[in-house]
Amino acid sequence: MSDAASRPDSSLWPDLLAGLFVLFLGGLALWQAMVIPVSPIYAQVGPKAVPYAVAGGLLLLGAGLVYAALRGGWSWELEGVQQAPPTNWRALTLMSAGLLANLALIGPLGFSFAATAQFVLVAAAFGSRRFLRDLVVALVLTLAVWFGFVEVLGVNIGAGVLEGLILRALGQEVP
Amino acid sequence: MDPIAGLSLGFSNALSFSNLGWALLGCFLGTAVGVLPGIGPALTIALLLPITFKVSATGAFILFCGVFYGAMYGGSTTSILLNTPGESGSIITALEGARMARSGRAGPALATAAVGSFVAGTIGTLGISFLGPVVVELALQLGPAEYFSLMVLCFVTVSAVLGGSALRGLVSLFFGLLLGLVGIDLQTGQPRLTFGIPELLDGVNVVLVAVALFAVGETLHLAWRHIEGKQEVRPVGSIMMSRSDVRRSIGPWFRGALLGFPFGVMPAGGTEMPTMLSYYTERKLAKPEHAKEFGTTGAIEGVAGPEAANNAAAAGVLVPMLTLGLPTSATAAIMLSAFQSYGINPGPMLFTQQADLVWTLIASLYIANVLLVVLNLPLVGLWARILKIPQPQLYAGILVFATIGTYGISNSITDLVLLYGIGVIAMFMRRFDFPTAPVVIGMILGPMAEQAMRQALTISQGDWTTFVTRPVSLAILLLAVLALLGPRLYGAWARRATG
Repeated sequence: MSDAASRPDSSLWPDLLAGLFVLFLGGLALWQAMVIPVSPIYAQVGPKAVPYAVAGGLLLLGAGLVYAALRGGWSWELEGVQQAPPTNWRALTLMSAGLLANLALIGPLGFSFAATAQFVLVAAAFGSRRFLRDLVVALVLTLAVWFGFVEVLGVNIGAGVLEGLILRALGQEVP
Repeated sequence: MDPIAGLSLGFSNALSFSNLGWALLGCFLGTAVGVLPGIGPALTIALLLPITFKVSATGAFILFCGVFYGAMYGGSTTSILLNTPGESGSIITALEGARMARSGRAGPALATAAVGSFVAGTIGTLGISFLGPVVVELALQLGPAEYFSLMVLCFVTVSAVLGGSALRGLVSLFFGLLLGLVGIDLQTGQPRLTFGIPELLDGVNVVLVAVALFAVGETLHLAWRHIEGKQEVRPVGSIMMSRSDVRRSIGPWFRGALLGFPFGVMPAGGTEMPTMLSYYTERKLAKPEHAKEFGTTGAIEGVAGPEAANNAAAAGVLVPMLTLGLPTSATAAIMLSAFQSYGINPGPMLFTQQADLVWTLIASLYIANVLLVVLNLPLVGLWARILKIPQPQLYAGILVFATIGTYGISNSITDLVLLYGIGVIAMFMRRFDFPTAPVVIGMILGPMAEQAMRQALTISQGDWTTFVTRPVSLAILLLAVLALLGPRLYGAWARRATG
């Protein structure tokens, strides 16, 4: 490419990795397509045909991306990447902590506590420093959302510790 | 049923108390999520999908369409007052709208956007009412082979024609197709791509994917590049349009609507192209004394036209969705999955078998348009206040909804792990400029395309040439090839001509 000189070398790697990831995805699909059991039921087109086609497509497209990356990549042209501020590790860490806290707590403690922990951590990730206020907002919001989804939308989510307490206080049965 | 009879039937149903209630609720919710940066109609409808177990199909679809139309109205508020377009269709509105807001004319900009949306929404809905039955007539002639070809065309246009790069669009599409394959094969009962995980036998839930792409991925990407600081919301001021504002807006409203609708109807979907075309048209057509406002103090024509084009295109998307069962936007794809959860087969039979539902839906689109103008003009101050929800709490709140929407599917931790996994992929897709809509479309339409293909091959007794020997099917496939290669050949030809 003629304008390759204007582009910093470091931008080659991310694009290459994106291409390799798509190749990996294609490989994964190919492996899973191969282990589909052969159907005893007669069909003109078996269950394997389309998975093979999709796997093939992904491998081909992944190769295309790798080729594009080796020819200079595409990221450096993107406005969002050119003007991007540096990676905010603090925000990313806090946010990941929020997601993981939710994952760990939702089983033993139920939705409201888990989602509250997540809310406080995610708000902190985006720069909120008022921990107590966030905690109160989160508790109110998660309880309102839980009751809304369970009572109005009829979503089946088991009552956790907090929901159970409130239902008992209201004199209702705990599902 | 002819359109007039259909509409009178539809209006008599849609004007019932409960259906009006659904429309109002949908419009209200839709405007709110349209205004809020970070959530859009696709995510909202996905989160509301559980309602399909409780409410009649008519009520649910009126609600969904209210959300769909409402989000179009609300989106313009954000791009004008905050200069951060919430979706691709509002990018152009932000160009002139934010400039008008900076020079103290936010009110008239909001007003012309709202009225323009009304004009375009009404023209678009008229288009649906009268074009729909015609398309259905044609579509009833199509067999599975033609359907498969039509879906291929749809795949090509939504992924390869729009957006930055055909290669990246197709990768997104194939990622969606891959997700759609997970689960039990309906025809033979074999588990596919489940990695031996029992939770995956039911397939990957569309709610999960929508939430991962539009809530988790988006929020992760924002956290990645987060800079501390507050965004400035411009004051609204008076929303009254002066007489000259109205005179300058009328032309753009109608031109924008007429430009936008066909783009929505074509399986290409997308709102970027018509809004951009409308913008350049209005810029060209503006009187010299107004033309200098473009790019400086903000020209009202540059808000009125693209906003109308955006809404008309959005309405147009409902034509292939309702008549052919082909979704060309992420929101339409999720609505399609709602049809499936009612056991309704979207496609040309919908207009005959579910005439009641379809015409009530169309009638409530007219009603939604009226409701939305009423909600948007006097209540614009309320919507502007929603914009003042601070970012940290807004994104934290969005993730609360994301969690309950996903966990509510089957109370499974596996689902949450999958949600975060796809969310991380979505974050990188955002970074590397892979479009997200083709993922949802591929996921919903992929299994339908596979079914059509297998039906066609069963009819032809395994003869693959059926797709190219049936003339209509061949024509559609050629169109798809043209859509895929045309732009590139033209580019090569243009380079040779100049170089």
